[in-house]
Amino acid sequence: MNRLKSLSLSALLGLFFALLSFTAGGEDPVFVVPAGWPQPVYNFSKNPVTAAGFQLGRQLFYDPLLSRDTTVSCANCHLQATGFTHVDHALSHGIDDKIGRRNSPVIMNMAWSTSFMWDGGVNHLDMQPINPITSAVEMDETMENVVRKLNGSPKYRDMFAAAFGDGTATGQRTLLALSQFVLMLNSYNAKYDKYMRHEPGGEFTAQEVNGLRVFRQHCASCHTEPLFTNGGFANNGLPADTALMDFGRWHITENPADSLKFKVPTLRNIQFTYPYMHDGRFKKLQQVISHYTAGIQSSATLDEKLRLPIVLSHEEKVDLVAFLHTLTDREFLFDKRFGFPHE
Amino acid sequence: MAQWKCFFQMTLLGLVMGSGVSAQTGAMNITFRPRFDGAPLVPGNELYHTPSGDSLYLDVLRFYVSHVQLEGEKGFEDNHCRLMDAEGGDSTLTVVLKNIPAGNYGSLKFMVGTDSLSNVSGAMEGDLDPTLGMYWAWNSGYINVKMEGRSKSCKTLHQAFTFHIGGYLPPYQTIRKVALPLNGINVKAGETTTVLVNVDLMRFFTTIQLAQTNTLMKPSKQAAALADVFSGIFSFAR
Repeated sequence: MNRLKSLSLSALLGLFFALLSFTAGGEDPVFVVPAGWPQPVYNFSKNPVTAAGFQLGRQLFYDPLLSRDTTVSCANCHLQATGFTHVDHALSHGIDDKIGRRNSPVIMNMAWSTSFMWDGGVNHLDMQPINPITSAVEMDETMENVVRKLNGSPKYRDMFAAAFGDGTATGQRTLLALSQFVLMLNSYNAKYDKYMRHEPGGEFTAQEVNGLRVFRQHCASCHTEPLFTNGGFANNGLPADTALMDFGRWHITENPADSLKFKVPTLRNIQFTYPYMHDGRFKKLQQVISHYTAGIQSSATLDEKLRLPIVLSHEEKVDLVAFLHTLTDREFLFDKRFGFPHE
Repeated sequence: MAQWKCFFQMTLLGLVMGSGVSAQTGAMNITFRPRFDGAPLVPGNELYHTPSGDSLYLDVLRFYVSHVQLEGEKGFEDNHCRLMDAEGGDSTLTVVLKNIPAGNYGSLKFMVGTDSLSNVSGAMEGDLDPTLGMYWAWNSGYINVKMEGRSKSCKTLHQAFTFHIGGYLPPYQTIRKVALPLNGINVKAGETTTVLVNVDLMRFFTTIQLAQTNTLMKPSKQAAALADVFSGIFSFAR
């Protein structure tokens, strides 16, 4: 009788834990290092991605609670279908429709990134969200108040308990959960990737093959495969906008040698991430290519690799754009796991 | 009987260990005392005058203390990073150290500020939690020293002065080492020794003119220079 009792108790316990893991979102998401890619920079041992942590981060990412007046969420300027950036806006608008200073960057393959923001001012993925949350023109909230609001919400207390063992929200936990969501936003299934892996769906046309050749000859030293960025900073010959007077990395390092240098962005999903450049000055990829062939403005800090003119024929320009379109990864852009968390 | 005795000894040992002081070690409370020209500094509503001609109210005084070391007959080191805040009085201005080997100590060393590892390790907890208003978002890193107040000399909004001293990257690192001679402080086994360290803000404000120098909110040459000044305002009281 006693044994039967303990058996049924363990069965009950088993059921309880099964339910618990179900409510926490099931299996832990698996971070994939695609074949041929470098190891990620992010230290996962300090913040292992769990199902519950990922779901909490996702909830936070889509929740306008993070802003002062509950009108702006991360997703306002980082929409999944466009590579987690804000299309059609040269500079994004945040709280009270205030306009920011820079084009909102894409969010993808962040585990491989060594610095964040156009000027590289942020040195760790965990700390990046503090910027939009506290920016007066984006969410205009304090971290302290975000944590207070989260602790006042029974829904969030449950989610923090599932992710971190107890229901208390802290600044650290809020940031770690956001990282867990963002770390899973990885794009490696574009036509280009399938071409490289010799998989079905990766058959390049002659035009795309030629575009890749042009790309490797003229662009790849900064936009290095497979991430399509070398993670560095460069002055790519754009004259400073006279209204913004933005000198990029110089504002961070206080070193004049960094004047007009900006982060080299990834080109993955570039077909949908328009407008382009740190201030969103170009609406079309053809304008970007024309800049590199005919628009480079020389200055003391201009990148060495751009000091000699890039000469491309009309056909090469067209082929290059055709190749850039092979970096579109529809599986990533429409992956339901990354979308708005419908309850 | 032998069993009983053993149990008793274990319990005693447990009690002693649990309290953080064992037979050979003691504890130390290091309390920082904000001063202005020797007088206790009251944040908020006391007007202070500098020899350089400024008068000011100090509303906020917060700073990090890390890597506390005691040198003497024995050595002791504690690698925690703690936030000191004048707002909360002694309780938020005291570093509590435990398990210090008993003996005489002739010098106290500590860093004012956070070490570079804390600045590059992502989201931290406790005194390093980024909700505490001591973290820069746009240019990653901790504010090592935060001083805010008001002075008629400042032609700024609300006549405010704002000194947020931070930065961990060369050439403008702002973490500073402080070494203070102790007058032969004796740490006794099982006891708590209190050390008082004065922080004389007048020595900081004497080196500047608030009309010209009143706003600092980024890592820079000036931040490094003011970090030098701030690290020189500590002295052993008793």
